[in-house]
Amino acid sequence: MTHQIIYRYRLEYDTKVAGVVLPVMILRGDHAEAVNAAVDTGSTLCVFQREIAERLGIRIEEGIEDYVSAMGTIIKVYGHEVTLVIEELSMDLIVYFPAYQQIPRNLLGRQGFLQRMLFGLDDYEGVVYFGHHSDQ
Amino acid sequence: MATNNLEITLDERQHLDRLLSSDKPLALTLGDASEEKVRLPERLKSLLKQILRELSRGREVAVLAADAEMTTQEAADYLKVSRGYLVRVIDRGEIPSRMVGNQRRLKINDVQLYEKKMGRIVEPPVKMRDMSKDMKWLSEHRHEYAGKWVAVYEDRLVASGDNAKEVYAEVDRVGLPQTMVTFIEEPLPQRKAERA
Repeated sequence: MTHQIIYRYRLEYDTKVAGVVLPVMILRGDHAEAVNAAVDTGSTLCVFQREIAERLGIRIEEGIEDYVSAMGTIIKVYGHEVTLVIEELSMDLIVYFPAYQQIPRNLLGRQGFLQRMLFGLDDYEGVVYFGHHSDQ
Repeated sequence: MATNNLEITLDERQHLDRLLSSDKPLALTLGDASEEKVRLPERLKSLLKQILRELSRGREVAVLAADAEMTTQEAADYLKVSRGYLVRVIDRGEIPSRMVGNQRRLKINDVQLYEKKMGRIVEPPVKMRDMSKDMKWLSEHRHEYAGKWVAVYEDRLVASGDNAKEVYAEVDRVGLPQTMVTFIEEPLPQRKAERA
């Protein structure tokens, strides 16, 4: 049995870096920042660096409080509504920012991001394919 | 839970928006009877404006009490998912529920919070530029800038530094739109077998 999924978008990524790191735009109000973020199927939440929240004018501690587990430690995070753009795909979602810790990379997790899209990975070629369910 | 669809024309919306943006007090009148006139609380203006804004975006609007509850079917309809999917979400503990007899009830606040967390596909508010050159630059210069923040625009380095603040300051000074700013992680130590 074969299966066919239609992906509207295709992005190449750097296979020399650990993980699948993609360029994204993060927006809030009139502020927009171009950043890198790693696709993380093991992460429930989308977690971005504190510096980006500050840049977007977000008061981190006023967001929705939650916790994430990373490398054996529990990190307190606060969620805020933002818009993410990746290629021509855009979504409003809640991105979380650490209360105190510095994190080395931004993470695109399941809630709000992977849950919302179809995602195909060709790690041999270093290519991701993605799109929305309605593209089928 | 009762909802009503309300269709409103562009002219009506603009007129209402103008009235609601006015500093003058808002009053409700029944027909032409001036004696049947009641002044509305100022707080109501922002709520009415919010309703108009959502309607103009083509979204449905329902006014509900904050502490009201929904059945699983009502919540599934509201979230536009199947009831089966919603039950799995509840079973995973992502939306709290309580049992009334043999039925679950969900607080509207909890359902709305879950809706926000689910995310929503929207029209891109900006056109993202092609960042393939930026990514290529990062790939080629990763080792030179490990442990630093860098700002890249296509195939050129705009700024680099030990902290994000000084890099962003330089990005603002240069003023190139959608300059990519990122922290470059230190590479992991090579495994023994790879070093040998």
